[in-house]
Amino acid sequence: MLGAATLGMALPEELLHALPKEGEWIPYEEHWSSGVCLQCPSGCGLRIRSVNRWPVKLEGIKDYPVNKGRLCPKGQAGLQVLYDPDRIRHPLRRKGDRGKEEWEKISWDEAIDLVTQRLKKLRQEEKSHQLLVLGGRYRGHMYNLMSRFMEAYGSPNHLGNSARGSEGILKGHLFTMGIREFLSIHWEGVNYLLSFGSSLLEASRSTMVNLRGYGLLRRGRPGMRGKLVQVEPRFSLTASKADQWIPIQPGTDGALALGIAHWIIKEKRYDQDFISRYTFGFEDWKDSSGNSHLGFKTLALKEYSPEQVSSITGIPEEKIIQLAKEFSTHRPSVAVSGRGVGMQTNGVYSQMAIDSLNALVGSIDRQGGLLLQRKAPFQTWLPPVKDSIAEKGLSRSRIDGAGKLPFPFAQEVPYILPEKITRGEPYPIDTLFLYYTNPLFSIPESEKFKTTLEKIPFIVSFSPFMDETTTFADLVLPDGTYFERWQDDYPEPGPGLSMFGLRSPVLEKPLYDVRETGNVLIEITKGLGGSVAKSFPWKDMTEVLRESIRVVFKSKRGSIRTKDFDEFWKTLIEGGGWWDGAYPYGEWRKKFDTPSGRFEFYSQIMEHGLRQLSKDSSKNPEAILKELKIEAKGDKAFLPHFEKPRLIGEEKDYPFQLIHYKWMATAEGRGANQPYLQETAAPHLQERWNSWIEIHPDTAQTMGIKDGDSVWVESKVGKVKTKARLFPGTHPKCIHIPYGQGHRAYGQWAKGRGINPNDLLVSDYDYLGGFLSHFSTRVKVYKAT
Amino acid sequence: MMDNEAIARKYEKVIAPMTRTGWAFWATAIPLAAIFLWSVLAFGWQYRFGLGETGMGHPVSWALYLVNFVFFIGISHAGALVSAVLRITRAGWGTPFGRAAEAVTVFALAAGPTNILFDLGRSSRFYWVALHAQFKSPLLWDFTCIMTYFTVSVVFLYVLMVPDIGLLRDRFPGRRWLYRPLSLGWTGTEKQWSALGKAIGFLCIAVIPIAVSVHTVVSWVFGLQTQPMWFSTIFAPYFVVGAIYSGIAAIILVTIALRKVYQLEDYLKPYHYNNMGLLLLVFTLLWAYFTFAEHLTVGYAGGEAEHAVLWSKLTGKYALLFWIMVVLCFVIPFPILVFRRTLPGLLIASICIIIGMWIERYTIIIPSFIEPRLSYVRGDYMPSWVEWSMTFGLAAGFALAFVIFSKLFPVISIWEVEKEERESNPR
Amino acid sequence: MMYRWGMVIDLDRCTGCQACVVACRQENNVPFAGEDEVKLGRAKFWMNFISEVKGSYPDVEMRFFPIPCMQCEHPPCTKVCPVEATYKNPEGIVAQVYPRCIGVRMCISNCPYTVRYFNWHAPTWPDDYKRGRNPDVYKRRKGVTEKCNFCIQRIRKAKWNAKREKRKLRDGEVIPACAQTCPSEAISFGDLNDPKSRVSRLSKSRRAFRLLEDLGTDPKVYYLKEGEWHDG
Repeated sequence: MLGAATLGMALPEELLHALPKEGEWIPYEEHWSSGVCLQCPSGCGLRIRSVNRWPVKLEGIKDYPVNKGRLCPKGQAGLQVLYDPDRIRHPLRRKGDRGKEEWEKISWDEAIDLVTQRLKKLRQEEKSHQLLVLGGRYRGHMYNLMSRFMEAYGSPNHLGNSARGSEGILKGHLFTMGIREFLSIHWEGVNYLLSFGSSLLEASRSTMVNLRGYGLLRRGRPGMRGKLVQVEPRFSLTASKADQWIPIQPGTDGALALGIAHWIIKEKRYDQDFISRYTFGFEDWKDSSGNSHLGFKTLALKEYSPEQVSSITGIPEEKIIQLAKEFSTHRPSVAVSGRGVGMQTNGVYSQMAIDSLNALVGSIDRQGGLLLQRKAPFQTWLPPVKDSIAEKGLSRSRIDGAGKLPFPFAQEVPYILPEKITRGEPYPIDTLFLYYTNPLFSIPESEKFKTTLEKIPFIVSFSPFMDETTTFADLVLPDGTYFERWQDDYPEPGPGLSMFGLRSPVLEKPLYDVRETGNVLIEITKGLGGSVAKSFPWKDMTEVLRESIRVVFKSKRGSIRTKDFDEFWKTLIEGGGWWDGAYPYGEWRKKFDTPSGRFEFYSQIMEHGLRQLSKDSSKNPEAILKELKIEAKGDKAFLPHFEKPRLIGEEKDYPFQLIHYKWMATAEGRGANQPYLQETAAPHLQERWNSWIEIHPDTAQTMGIKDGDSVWVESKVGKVKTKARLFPGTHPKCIHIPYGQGHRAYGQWAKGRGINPNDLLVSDYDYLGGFLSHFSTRVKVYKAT
Repeated sequence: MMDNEAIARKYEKVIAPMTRTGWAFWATAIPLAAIFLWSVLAFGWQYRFGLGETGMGHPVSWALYLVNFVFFIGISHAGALVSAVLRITRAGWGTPFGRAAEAVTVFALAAGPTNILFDLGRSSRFYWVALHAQFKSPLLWDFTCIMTYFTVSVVFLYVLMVPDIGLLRDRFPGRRWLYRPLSLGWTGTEKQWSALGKAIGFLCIAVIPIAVSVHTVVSWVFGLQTQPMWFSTIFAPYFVVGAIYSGIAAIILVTIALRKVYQLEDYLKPYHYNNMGLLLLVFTLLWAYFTFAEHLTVGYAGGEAEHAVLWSKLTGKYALLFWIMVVLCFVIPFPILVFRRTLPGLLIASICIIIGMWIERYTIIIPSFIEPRLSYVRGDYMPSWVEWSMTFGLAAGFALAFVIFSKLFPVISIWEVEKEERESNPR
Repeated sequence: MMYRWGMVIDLDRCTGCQACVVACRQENNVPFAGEDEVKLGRAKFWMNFISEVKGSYPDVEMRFFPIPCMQCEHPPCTKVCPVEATYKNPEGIVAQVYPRCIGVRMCISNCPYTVRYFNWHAPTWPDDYKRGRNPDVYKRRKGVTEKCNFCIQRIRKAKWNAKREKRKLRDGEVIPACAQTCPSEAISFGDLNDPKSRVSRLSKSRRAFRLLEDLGTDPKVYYLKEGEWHDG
């Protein structure tokens, strides 16, 4: 009968893959295994159903705290990542010119040897700093591994941010709360959710927690139905499910938050207890030298009355007051934001303003509020062994100038690389590693980046897929997919409580001749020998993970309690993850990682940082603020306030502001090679396999554009041709373009399809935060003949 | 009574096509055969690759094949119906049309259901409709009625040809192998005439309800479905009227063509066509009446789903086709049939009506699919080369069948015209 | 008493993510159609997703529904099939018999919900995808009609297991692929004949409605209306 036969291994190859014909039953062998999805940063636990060794269906792990047995459509389409016919099947070496995609097969030993020899030579010539690593979607200890490698090897040039699309939010949190992480919404308890452009139901952090949470918000608590208010220029899916949609002028969310704060403060509706116990800089204060400083209260009351804010945001005064009233009354209430707020030239200050709202109602680190994802109690590794070459290399300044003017608080600035590398300043780059990143697709002005690549003599890609950037590589050492490796995973963020998941290979060996990058890295260190090899005392990733996780077993806490570690490890593999019982409410807010130990309305981290910068650069603070293109002066610069967002392009030439967004199927940006996701319809327009722009129907009419017409969209740096769709939810002065298409490689279903809005984006930055503003581009639209 | 020889000589013109085959025959038959053959290849292509080679999809799951099906079955009506009704009412003017009408019926009935064969997902299993019949389905009623009608029409045509076949058997000794068995030993005895008379009388009466039932059940394939603007009580009489309308036009067109090609002016006189034209006028008015009633009812009291379809026909996507249809089916024929029932006039009128009625079938079927009841689902449709090939192929096949028929049998019923003449001028 | 399978979709929970759409296709071996076929409307979505946008800026509204086969109690599709290739089985599921279907497609045109799909071409998968197919679900050939059948293969498996253990099915034991994956738990599935089951309860909710109810099809898929937030 079904599933009972053990003949799986003995069946001939054709029958293994055949489907039964009408009325036929083929005996098969079925088994279930666990893993963790990697289609987005949520990191949902996977139950993988395999038939005759081959995975056929993905479900969620029932108790996994992130997804509780469920999967989003990206997760369900995951097998199309494993079975992608265009996957790279073995190591490749470039034969012809770069970009021509002429490859020859080489063995793993040869490939690893090539890399090792190159790196060795660099070290011998004391040029170890000329190794540049661009990393993207790191999970679990992989980031630590790569960082460790860079440290032991001797290069400061590790650009490994896995949150490039939302850096503004992180920086806002940094200045107010001292964290570089996203916060999680406690859906089980929240009553009122004020969302500033957060794509909660389509592309947020974490999507799965928010999808599940939405169900809880509405119907999960008997008698309670929370309110969701979406503030956004565009009528997104989240806006359509919200109880109220507030259209707003793009880039002015910070002003709205301050207007709401003004009312709450004026009416004294704030959480007095939280403000007095856990915040700093609310009232005016005097510092140790006796200078008096502006407090948030004074600033908000003086400059951001609903009337003043109304003219900035375009939202009527009564609505702002209504929002303020509801937000402060129906607690627990939470304010959240998305990339639309963060990724502007005023992103940091806008995020600080929104953080302030949460502080005002005291919803940080409490039931129904915002939670900080707890880390699992992993083993901290011993510091890497650094020899003199490493120390020398590490002492060089970073190639991207992160941490220095004009990006004083940035940890990485990938967008500046074209400029620096092309000029060879302050030094050239010899070798580039590409891990889980595709800059030629995801970074604007990709042509510039292409010329950068030309200046780098040796490029190695670890990508399992032939994406745009990999076509420019000299050597490809293909990684396995997330079904074919040993990797731990912790959500960034998840539901809050301490947890991690474990990926283990589903198949006996990977589908093709690929190796997981962690193991390849360890091999390289062995080849390099010396202090580098000493820093990596492990045989492979399994050993790395076992060592890091052993201490979790020893802690005798959480969902797995066993007698010995081997049993713990076995249970971990079968169950897919480990999680601790409950979230420790209130622990974090007792001590924020800020100079005052409190939530800082007045950001001392920023103030100290700029003061230090002023000392180091011998420029006075006012000049620095000017260089960072900040208009505020004095204390105001350290408080949440509204800066006008900068746009590039004159309005008369480029009448529309370009807003690009992500929806469910394209949220991660890697889904274009999965036909199930390509065929999923954009909910509001029922578009599939396509790109389009959204234009306001009346505007389109005045321009003579009909629904479905072919149009050109042009900005100062590029132009693209695509389909125009009339959508009533479009802001009259904006053009909205979905992200995800426009690949020039990456498989048969992705290549040559649609447009990439990155091709239109101009480069302007939030210099304080040190990231590219995604929404500073003005465009014009005209019909294509 | 004249003997066969004499009759043969008298009706030399009618028999002439069977004696010689000129270049005109080949010039017509070969292109027609080529088009027909092309459609066979197109069908083979579609059989191999699936119905995806047509333009159909979701939600337009029935399209040109069903349009052709209804169209051809529609044409088939007038044949036996006109023939039978005119005989029963002893309207002698219809006699010369009889043979052609019955032939139109048979060939149209052969062409119509072939479309269903084209339209099936698994054409080779078409006979399962009989084997695993479910009588709750209107398609089974279709199948039954059409089979019956086809059988009865073939018998009708054949029986009415027997005396002529007897004539031909004597006249063409070289073709005895064909005509002899078919003539059933007809010699023109009293007994035989009386038997023939009885048979004809029975068949005439039998054919009428069967014919009416056929297009009624064809209409019910649509009229009993839930699609907006299909679910309508008026479909049955509307379709029957439309069928007879297009059928009469087809007969006029066919006979005018035959008259021209085979020089049958003596037998098909303007007086005959005048009466045919009057009959056609009646049906023009009936058709217009039903169309108006249908659309007014929907427009006045229809629901949201029905209105979506209605307005797509009147002012929307299908407005052009709809109003062309109205022009072709009413605006042009009506004044012609009232004022100018001449041969050229009737020719124009029939061509317009035939094309118009094909468009009418199209606008009945497709717009409802494009705007189904669930208002969120919308579609589009454009026929592909396969469907056009089948349409023209069948039309070519139909014409080809006629051309070949005219080479084997007289297109005017000799014995009836003779009988008619004798009865009106007794000597 | 026999089971009577029904489904309830809570639109207040539904987030329009379409996980159900993808999960259903993966479970039931429904291949993707590709761009060209999609343009002709031939993509098969046993669980479909329909949406409608109304209004003008800034008063815009969007409604959407996941829509599987309604499994009507009085199905308009079964009575029009000339070869009886579709029928309502004793547990209320409108089953499609692929070997019997000859592709007449009257069932497709008579379904007012337009949730039946036809194989216009032979279903194809890239070779590499063929390993990832579910052996519990028949392969359909070109020229036959198919549609959602409430994951009848899962029902069959569950019943077989229950029979082995000599008991009846428990509420929540049978879960179709769509219900299992829905992130916001919007889809519930179970036995409508069991008064204590979740679907039984929810189908009697004041928020419950069914699509095109006035047609008399008596569907067994219920929707729960979205709720509203009140300021007291």
